[in-house]
Amino acid sequence: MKPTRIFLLIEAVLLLLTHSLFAAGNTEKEQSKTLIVYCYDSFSSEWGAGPQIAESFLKENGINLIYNAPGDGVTVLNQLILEKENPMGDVVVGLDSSLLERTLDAEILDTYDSPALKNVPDELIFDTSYHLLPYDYGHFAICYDSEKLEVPPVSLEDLTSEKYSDSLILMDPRTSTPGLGFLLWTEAVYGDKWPDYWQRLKPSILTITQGWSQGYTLFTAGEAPMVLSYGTSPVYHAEYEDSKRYRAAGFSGGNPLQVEGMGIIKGTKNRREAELFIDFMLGEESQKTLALSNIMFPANAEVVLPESFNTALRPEKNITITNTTGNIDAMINRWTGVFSH
Amino acid sequence: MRYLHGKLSGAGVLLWPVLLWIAAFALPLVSVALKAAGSVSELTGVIQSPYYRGVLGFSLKQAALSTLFSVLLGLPGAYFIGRHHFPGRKILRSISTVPFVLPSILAVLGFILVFGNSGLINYIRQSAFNGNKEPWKILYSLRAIILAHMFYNFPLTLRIVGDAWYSLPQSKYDAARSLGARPVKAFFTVDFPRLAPAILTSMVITFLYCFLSFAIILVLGGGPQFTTLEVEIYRLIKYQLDFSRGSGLAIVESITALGLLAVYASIDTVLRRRTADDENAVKIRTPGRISGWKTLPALLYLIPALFLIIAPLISIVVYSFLNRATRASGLHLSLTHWRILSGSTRVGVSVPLKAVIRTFILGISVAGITTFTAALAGWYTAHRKGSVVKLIETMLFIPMGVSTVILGLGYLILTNSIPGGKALRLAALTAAHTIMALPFAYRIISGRLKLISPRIPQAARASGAGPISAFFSVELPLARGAIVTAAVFSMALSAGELNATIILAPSGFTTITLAIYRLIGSYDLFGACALGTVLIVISIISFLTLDKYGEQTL
Repeated sequence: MKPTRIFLLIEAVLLLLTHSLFAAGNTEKEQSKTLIVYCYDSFSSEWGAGPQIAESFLKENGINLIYNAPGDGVTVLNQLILEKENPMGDVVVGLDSSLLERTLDAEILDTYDSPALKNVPDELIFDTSYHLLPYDYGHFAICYDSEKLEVPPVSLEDLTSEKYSDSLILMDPRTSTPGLGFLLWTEAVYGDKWPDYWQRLKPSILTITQGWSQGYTLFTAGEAPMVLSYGTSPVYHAEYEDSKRYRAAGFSGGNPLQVEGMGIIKGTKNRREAELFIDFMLGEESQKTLALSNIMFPANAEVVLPESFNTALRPEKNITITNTTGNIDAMINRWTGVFSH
Repeated sequence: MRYLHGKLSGAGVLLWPVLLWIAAFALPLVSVALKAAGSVSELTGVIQSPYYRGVLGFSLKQAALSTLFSVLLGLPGAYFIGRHHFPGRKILRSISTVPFVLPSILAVLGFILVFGNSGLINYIRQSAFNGNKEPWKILYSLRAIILAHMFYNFPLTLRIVGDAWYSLPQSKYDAARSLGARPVKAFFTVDFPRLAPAILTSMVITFLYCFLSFAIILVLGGGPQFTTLEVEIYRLIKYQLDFSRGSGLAIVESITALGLLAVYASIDTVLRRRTADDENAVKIRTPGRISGWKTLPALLYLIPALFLIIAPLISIVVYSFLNRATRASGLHLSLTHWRILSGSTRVGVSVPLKAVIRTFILGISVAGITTFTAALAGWYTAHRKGSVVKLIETMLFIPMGVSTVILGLGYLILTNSIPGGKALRLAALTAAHTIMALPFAYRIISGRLKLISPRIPQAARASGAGPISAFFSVELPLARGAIVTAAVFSMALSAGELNATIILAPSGFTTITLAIYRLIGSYDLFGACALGTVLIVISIISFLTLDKYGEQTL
């Protein structure tokens, strides 16, 4: 009898301990109105735009923003779909144009034709049904290290040139958004012949990483002179490191446009506050914060950008890439096929 | 009455491990199963597809190769660490666990900085040949994958087998020697059979770890010709939202792991039967010094092995002090990136040193709960026999064989039912880390308890001690080394874990690993290295402290 008691006691104490230990840190105040914002991790992080926007939003409207960030944009969409029957959030930030079709199919958002959209150029309104509203944008681009590469590539075809052998870091289209964007880019340019292009491109590829972070890390560490990234990437180095070493290559024929969107979650009980938030995100102050922490162009064309944005690529043409779920599986199969022999 | 009492105490002991297992492991999996109704019917399609068969084949192949080389590299180290005193022994033992703590992205970076096309080795080579040589392409191949897995996993062999070597019995060996056996023969007849279970344990853990490996394989392998099941599960679950097929693949993965467990368990039983009559661990052999003819092989082994662990770590540290202020100014030393620790960053939000404290508290809770749980379960399985024991062993093993993507999806689904509650979320995070560390901890601790248990407690109880007091006063102290090793790995695992942390950590609860991930995500690689350095230093200090405690009684 004694041993049983001792163990049950230890277990009880342990249970209590773990709970009280953590409960101690639990001091959520609920005096003012709150709005729950679903977003990707880098938005709400200490280095993202989230904290600053929450502060000014509270000051201006007296509404607390609570962020829920379970991972990257795709994870956010997954969570919204998983809790469709019982939505917990009010607004979502960070579903980009490549996720549009899936977002609309899932019927998780309400429409909102915000008056603040008047300052947003038409070409950025990627969802004409107004479920997802644009807040910033950029272009997929090949970035290069100007100290290692004197002549940057000028087109997708140019990337296959022998002088670029083992020089390019790409991302896997199976596990990364820019990776999939690049695959779709090659399809947009070469049509059905894209697998032949990849065959020619293979010798130039040093490695294909799981996500953008690893790829860009390798690039910054000097492992290869070219990486798949964004046309706005040089802005970071100009703004925060005072360096113009890293640049984005503009391609003849243009670069694919990627627009990040936000929307009001269907079933919210705070519709009015959610609208306020969307309008606030498109206001000049938030737009500037967003541009400087996301390193993307703000959707609001009225915003005056810092000088560092002169280093960003302004492509000669926007290429529209469409991610229709139906054909992705088949494309991925053909893509892995290119590498299997 | 006495019989009933025995049953009760057994059930009482298991209550906590089983509860934890259900809450942190079974529950998330069930919630995935509810969403992926068609997963079983996808199985045939998955098995028949030549593509997935190739992926499974490659997953097994690279895991087998990685295990082989990790264990081969670890064994001599285990011998030196277990049987000898030499300068730097403690540091080697503690530092070898640090790769476990590193988020994979920093491990990859460290690797690139040393072995990459423009890394340290190629730099030295270029300088030696006056820059006339093409870079030596070490990475972006199967070889690179194996090398990185060795970096991560050979410490497992080093420590688990090293501990076993350290606690070999003196009496049997003396007996063999006095009967005229030469040292080599004495080793193979006396020592090796007693080390074999530990070697097997480190092999099975290493294999599963590599089998489920993911990011490293893509980056260092160089392309989709090297694809593991885990990559495909990730894609199907996250990007295709095809829960059924993704779960189908995950089932294949788990069945493979269970098959491995069955093989492991039967070999383990045979191995242990041979040494079942031991009264060992009463008196352990004292380690000697490295001297005479042993010096050369020791150096030949220790220097490259140390290089493999330390060079990538040091390169991260050095990198954090570099600065590349303007174009063409090149790299120079600076403290710029360490600003991040003192406060202001580019957006003006202070980066809390709190992250360090949080990682610490979380790591200590996880290590405490994990070792406690593993000790409870280990005590039960070491003292009983029968189907319940088998069931418990399988339960505590299987979390290692389940896709982290699937488990993550389970947590994602469950977070819906634990909304704003910060305390609950943290408890869930602790539980998730515990369940990931538990298979390691249980293997390590129960392996040791099984060696000690049969005889000693009987002796203790004969002199009046109850089973519990015998456990605390005799068995636990004898297993102290194993318990500390388990605690070290649990802490390391928790500190380096990213996937569950992103999903479960309440907003504002930033661990060092999360901060590193976020910094890299916002272009600040150097700042990430500064935080990585903090993580490395803290880990070394913690592991040294823990290990000191662990060796006191041995």
